[in-house]
Amino acid sequence: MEFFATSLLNGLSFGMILFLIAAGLSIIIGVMGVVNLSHGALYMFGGYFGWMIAQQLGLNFWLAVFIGGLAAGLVGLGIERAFLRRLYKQLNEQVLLTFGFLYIITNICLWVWGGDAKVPFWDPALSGSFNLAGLLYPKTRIIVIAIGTVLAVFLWWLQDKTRIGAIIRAGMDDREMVTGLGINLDRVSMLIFFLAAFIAGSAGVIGAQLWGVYSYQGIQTLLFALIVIIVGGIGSIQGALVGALTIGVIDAFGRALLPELSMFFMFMVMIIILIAKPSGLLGRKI
Amino acid sequence: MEKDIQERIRRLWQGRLGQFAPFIIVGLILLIIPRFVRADIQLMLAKFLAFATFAIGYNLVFGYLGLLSLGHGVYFGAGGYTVALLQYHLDIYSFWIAMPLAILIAVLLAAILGPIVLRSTGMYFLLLTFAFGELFYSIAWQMKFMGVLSVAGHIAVRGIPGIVYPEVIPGIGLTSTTFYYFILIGFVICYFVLRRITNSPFGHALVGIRESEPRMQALGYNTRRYKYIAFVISAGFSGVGGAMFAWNNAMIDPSHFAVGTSFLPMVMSIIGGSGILFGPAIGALIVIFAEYFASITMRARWPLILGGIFVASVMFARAGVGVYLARLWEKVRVRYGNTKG
Amino acid sequence: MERKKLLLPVSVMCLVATLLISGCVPAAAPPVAPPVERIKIGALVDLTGPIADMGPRFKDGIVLALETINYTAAGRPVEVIFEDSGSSPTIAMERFKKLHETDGVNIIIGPLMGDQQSAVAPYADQHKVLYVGYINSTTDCVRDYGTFLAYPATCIGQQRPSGWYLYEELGYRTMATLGSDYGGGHDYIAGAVYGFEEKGGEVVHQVWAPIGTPDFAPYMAAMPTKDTADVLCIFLSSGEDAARCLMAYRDEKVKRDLPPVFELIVDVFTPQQYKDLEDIVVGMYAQSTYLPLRDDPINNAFVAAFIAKYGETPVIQQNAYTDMMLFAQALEITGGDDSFDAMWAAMTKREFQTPQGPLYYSSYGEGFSNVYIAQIQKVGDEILPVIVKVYEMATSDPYVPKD
Repeated sequence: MEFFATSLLNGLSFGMILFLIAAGLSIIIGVMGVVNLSHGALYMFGGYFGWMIAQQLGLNFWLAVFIGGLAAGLVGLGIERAFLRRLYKQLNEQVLLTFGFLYIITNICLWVWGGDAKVPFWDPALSGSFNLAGLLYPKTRIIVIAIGTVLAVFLWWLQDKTRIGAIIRAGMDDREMVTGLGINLDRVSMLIFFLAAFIAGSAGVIGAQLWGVYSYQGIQTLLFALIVIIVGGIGSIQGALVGALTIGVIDAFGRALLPELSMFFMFMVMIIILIAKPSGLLGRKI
Repeated sequence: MEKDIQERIRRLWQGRLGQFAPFIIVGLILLIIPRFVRADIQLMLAKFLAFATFAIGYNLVFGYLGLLSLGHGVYFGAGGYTVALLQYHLDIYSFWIAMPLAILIAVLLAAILGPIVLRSTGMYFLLLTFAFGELFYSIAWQMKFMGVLSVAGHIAVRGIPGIVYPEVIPGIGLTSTTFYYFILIGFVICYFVLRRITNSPFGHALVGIRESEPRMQALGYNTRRYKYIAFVISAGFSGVGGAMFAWNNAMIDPSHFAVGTSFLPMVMSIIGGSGILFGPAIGALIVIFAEYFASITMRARWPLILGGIFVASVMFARAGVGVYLARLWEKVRVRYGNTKG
Repeated sequence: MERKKLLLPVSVMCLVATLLISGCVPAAAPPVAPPVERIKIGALVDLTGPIADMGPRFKDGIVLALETINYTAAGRPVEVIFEDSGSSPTIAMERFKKLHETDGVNIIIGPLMGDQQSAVAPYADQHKVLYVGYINSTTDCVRDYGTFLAYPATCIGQQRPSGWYLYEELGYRTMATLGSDYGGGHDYIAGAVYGFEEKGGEVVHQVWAPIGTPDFAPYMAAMPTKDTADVLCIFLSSGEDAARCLMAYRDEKVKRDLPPVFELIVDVFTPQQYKDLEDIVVGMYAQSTYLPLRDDPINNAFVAAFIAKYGETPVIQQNAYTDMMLFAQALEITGGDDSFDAMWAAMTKREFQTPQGPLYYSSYGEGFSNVYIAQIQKVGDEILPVIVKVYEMATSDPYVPKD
């Protein structure tokens, strides 16, 4: 029973970090029709920035989370404004361009912060474990689950219940019409892009509590994000959440019970979904 | 009399000779250059030819059909592993067995995966093909027969090292120079075969499907079958490229199935120009050599330079370098022809 | 119509031209060997890719060695050409070839990874290029090829005495293992297991973690307790993987009585990581290939010079330093002859003194060196490994033939 509960929580906390990574990417792809393969690099960049704030300057951890998000948000916004904006609906060009930025950002991080990986760090107040009805479980991981849940609710509210969400969804379907209605779609796009990048960057610091920060994270988190999107479906927060938690929980149980097949599990789930329901568990057609 | 000769030359220049001149020039360069360059450049030239073959085959699906695949590494890797495993496990070095088998396996894989991946387009197609690439990567990582076993029983090396040049004429071994010429011939053959395909009604139908699949269907084309056939053909060429690469690289490993390899022909097609048959080959030349020279001169910063090249080529050379070169040549030809007359 | 008519003749032309040129044009003269004055040595270091943190460290070690010998050996100037091996066997292979064929190099330090070493091995064998590893190597590279020197031992040889120590000195009888899932990881664990089993111990639980595992919690959740396994042997390929693993271990240990940890290569940790993990690591036993604080004249001199130049205590930088110093000493013995046969004869079957301790290569290229078992202790304000036992020249790999 203890093993089951621990593994479930392991899966949920791992899954929540995957959700934080994938949510931004999924919104942008599904809702704005833009592929940003440098998303993983934004996660890593935010993580390094946050490390600098929290560990090098010794400031508050949550300030580091915010600043990490801000830094990544600005970089992401810059890429969108200067480059991606001109490539509306050109998938090939977007892929190549953002791949190029993945390389560039990764190498700059390597240059500035070096190849040494940064060990996990967190708010000192969160050291130790919570006692959950007899089960002792690390505080940092519980906080990750909590943050993820709050963010999921917020984004879902934004997507389904607000005017901005409706505008984005409409703009995806019929850009001319929405602009014709006098709505500044461009400005809303900017906001959404910044938000997605901000989430990625702060996720980098939040995830650093469990994973640390290292130079390989750019491409690694991109791969995670793509797998989550494949499983959960593009374009909705619910899809990203379901995909992320599914992958997280299956991975946690899989690694614990059948460690020889560790690498397989993520790919297995991916392939099964692709064959059974190619648009993902909760995907909508784009 | 003089005017007559001048007129003849002009027409020749504007006609067939003019169209073929660039190929002849390039052909001669490719033939002669290896004798005069350093060994490491020679290695890069052979690598370029392998990837050029890979990329022009890939472009059948990418440029002509308009499908963005991030999973052609499966077929490239299949070609490479076939020749490697034949050598490593079965001591088969003959080119005449290895190459056909490499193509066959690549084609078979595409025949099986094709119906699954071709159900989708656009973003989904990208993700699906990517997924299979990663799946094959993890299979190649785990399978004992696809690696070198340690004397202690576990897998010591993932992938097969120590691949040697194939045996073309029994008894006569290839040197690195003759190997280069050998795959140069291979590349040229592949190029002309693809040219046949793209200039045929089949090729034109593919472009039609890219422009508007519903319209082609309305015209009575079985678009599913056309896409499937094109996909399988492109996989065959990827297998050829993979075999060439494996021989040249002397090692094949699981990463050659994955996205790190799969995205290369895409990059090469975009940079070189996906609208023209030889475009991806030019892209291959640029990418391979840019990566090499950047890494020799800026040892730790070369990914930065490479990324910069990707960004620059998207922003400033949208149609692709190959297309610009083709247009340039046209201008030169017409202008030169006019001056003569 | 016109195109088709030209297609055939043009192709035939090309083919004929190819054959003619291959047959008739004489091969260009082989690259002229550079002026014999300078001795060139190659170094493959990973400056990009997942293990990019290693490259600069090795470079530091080699540069210090060059300065120590004043860039001279056997009266001739010495030059080291560094190339990026990119954390990839393909790139390592390309650079290896470049170093040998274009730069005219016969002796190479590196590459680091087992699969990179295997990638270059057939070529090195064929072209008689001598190369040496940085941090142990897989057994097969030493067994199957004849131009490679495994510094300071093979992985299996390095850990075999760890197994002895666990059985004989710490009294353990059952073992669980957690290792990185790649050639080197399997070999390190296999070495400890071999030593443990040959004394009579038993392995009850084995887990392999893929490289780049972000989360070790699931592995810890399934780890047996002290009732089932007396000790948990861990090897992970990087310091921060190892640190994360121990953090997950700490979280799990709060709930269940996990066995004590024995780290197979504790050199991967930095002093800062010891501090972060103080509550877990103090009291932990480990195998430490090189200890900077080992009191020995050669070592003390090296450490002092390193701190003076770089301002930090050396750990794995020592390996690259020693590789370079041994090349220099071998060149002195051969009188500046850097050909393979001369260098191999100079470097094998001879005992060298290095900061790590004595070193001896067999004619098979297997390295023999001291194995140090240490315990992490708190000494004043510092937390560091302290030697508790030395197995002298004990890195004997059971699978490699002996002279």
